[in-house]
Amino acid sequence: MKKLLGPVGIIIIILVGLALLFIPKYNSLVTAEENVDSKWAQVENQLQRRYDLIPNLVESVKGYANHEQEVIASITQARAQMGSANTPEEQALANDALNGALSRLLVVVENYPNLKADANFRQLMDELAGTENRLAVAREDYNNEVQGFNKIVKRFPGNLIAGMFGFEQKEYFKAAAGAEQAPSVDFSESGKQ
Amino acid sequence: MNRFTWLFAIVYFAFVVNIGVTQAAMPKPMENTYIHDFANVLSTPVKDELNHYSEQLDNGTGAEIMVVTLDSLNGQDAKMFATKIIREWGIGDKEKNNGVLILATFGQGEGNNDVVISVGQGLEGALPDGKLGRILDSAFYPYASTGEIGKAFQTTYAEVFQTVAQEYNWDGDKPEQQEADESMPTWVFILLIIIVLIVITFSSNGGGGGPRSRGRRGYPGSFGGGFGSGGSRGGGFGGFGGGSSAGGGASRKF
Repeated sequence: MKKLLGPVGIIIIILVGLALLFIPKYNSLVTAEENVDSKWAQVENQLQRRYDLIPNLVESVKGYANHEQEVIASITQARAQMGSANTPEEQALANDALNGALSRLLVVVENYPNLKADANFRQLMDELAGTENRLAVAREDYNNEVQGFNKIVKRFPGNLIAGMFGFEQKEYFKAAAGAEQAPSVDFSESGKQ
Repeated sequence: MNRFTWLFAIVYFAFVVNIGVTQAAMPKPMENTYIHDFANVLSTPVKDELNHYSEQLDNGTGAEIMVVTLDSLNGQDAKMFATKIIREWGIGDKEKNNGVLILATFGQGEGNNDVVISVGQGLEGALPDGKLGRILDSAFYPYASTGEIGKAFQTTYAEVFQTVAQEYNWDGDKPEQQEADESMPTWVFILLIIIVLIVITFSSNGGGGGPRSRGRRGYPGSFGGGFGSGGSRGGGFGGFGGGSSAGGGASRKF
């Protein structure tokens, strides 16, 4: 009997030891994943806000520059792309497309002083630019959390637990090169009007 | 072994250099003031005035309005830069995140200078981006474009201050809100003040109550002590409450 207790005891000690090692790791994985999710919700909030602002913007642009169909179409298209995007990668791509379209709009706006001076349009552009900045902040926060999470998932013993419980590495929200700079609103000349 | 040392040295060096760069770009806050005039464009009276109001507001509501002037952002995005300052300095209350930062550059050349008002989440409702843009258009740009830097900051500050004070239903000492269109000439205003002063002086003579009320709009701190602003300094700088920002704000070039 005593002979049997020896090996069993050792096994129990090992199991307890492993549990002590694994449980905190498991918990930290859960916490890290929740952090990632909450930061992602922030990113989605801002994306949604941009998405909601676009129709108003398109309306006020149409009021002054209705024959700039090409720019208007590219904005509407980018918005549709945003609406159908699901993964962070797709959403990042759609967002870049929207940024591109908005930059083109800002170039076109130079030819329409009345549009540029329109209070409603200026407010919308401010909201859009502000949202872009919030998005950049949310993206940075999200990526930081993803980095922390992925570190746990990749390292021992986190990788064992992640494998056991099905935690997978999270995707970064990457902006295309050059998309770091939000389209800036420059009203310096029209401010005098 | 030797290879590892080299590798370590390279990694370490890269890290240190990296830190060095970010630190050089981010100015360090000064103590005991809400007004950080690194570009040296504001006169002492203007700085003292704005600092006084910020101090009163901070003591009264916990909201912090800071002003920063810089030579250049070295090509960084103005709104992002301002957001980072709010976060790193911790402007505003830690729980309420009610910091406001008015930041402008003056060494990037005319038409390329940045001005930005950045807010923490706690004040995004009172100061949405569209409103901040309007404030910059109506209060900052008209004066800054004609070189009246002090006036530009005073009017912009007053607009922001009024909104924040209103948000917290705070009715302490407020800066004058200057109308963009001069509906009342300055001399009429001065005349009115003189009349009011005369009336006050005469009416208080009869009662014999308030000792030498000089008509100065009260500094709450100075009424008891009689030491003027020296007393209110005692209340101290409550700055850098640890507030954060989600990136709200508006910016312009000027």
